Amino acid sequence: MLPFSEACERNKQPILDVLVDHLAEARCVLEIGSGTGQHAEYFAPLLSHLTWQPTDVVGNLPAIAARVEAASFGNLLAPLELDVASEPWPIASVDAVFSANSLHIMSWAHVQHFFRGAGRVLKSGGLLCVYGPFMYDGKHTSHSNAAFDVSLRHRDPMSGIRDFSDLQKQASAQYLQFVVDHQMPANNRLLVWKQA
Amino acid sequence: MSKRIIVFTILFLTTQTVFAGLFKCTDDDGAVTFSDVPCASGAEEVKGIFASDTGSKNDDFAIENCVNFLNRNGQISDPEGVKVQSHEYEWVTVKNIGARRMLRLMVNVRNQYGAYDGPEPMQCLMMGDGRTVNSHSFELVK
Repeated sequence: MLPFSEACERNKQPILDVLVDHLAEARCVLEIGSGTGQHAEYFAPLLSHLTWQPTDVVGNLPAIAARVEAASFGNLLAPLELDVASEPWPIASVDAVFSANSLHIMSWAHVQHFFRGAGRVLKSGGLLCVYGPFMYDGKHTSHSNAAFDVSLRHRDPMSGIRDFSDLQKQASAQYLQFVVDHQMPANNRLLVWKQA
Repeated sequence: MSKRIIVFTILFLTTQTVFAGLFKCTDDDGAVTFSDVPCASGAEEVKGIFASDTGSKNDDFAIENCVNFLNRNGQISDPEGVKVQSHEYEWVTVKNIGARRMLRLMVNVRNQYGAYDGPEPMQCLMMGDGRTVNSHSFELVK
């Protein structure tokens, strides 16, 4: 049985509702941290004008590959190994980078790699779309996010919910211009930056 | 057949409607209405961004979002001197997206001499949430 995330099932439609507006002109989307592959499997047939490239660290690839193979969509590619800290990334140039619920499970050093890599592979005008919980001015947006952050840091002190202003600094350093912050269900956000 | 357009398209018409001052009136219960005449209990004349009298909170947000977007893109020269006279929505079909609302505003902007030249139509394509402006290029499908 393939790995399955209840959270993915709940958030996939709200995320798609936002992505569809941002990705109307995109042709190739790189997903970082595809996880179970549920987002890729759900989005690809509904964004049929573009090609979806799932990626993840090597341990997660078999499950994603199995899901992609079972789905058999022409625009959903087999997953590639991508460790954000390893250079070069396996794809040179894309119209958009999407990642869901990944920045809070990375170390801060990996978050920095994430932005550097995204800035490098995004074409001019390309979009970086990041979904997940975030802090603002050092404050959580809900008690549940605060509790989640404590559990993350207890499990791994290097991980934790990131502050928007810290991410914005990383984005700016890669010439990524902030576009919009979408409020999403369950105290999540979808942040969008655009490559200059 | 489709027609490519660039966002923040602005249509300049020759309408020379005289703009009347608009007033924001708050009653004892805190309800806000907009009017072209001062309200009975005293009124604040609105000089910034405001919704039309039919505006809901979502409309207010969308209009503010649209005006900010137009300002960022240089379509509004004086963000402090913007008066949104009216607004309406039109459903359009956007390639690779589907049905979305186009927010059409009648905007009176203070010119470099400090005077209002009369309302001009401006428009913003809204995203699926109906509140956020689509700031990307897009293609309308007829």
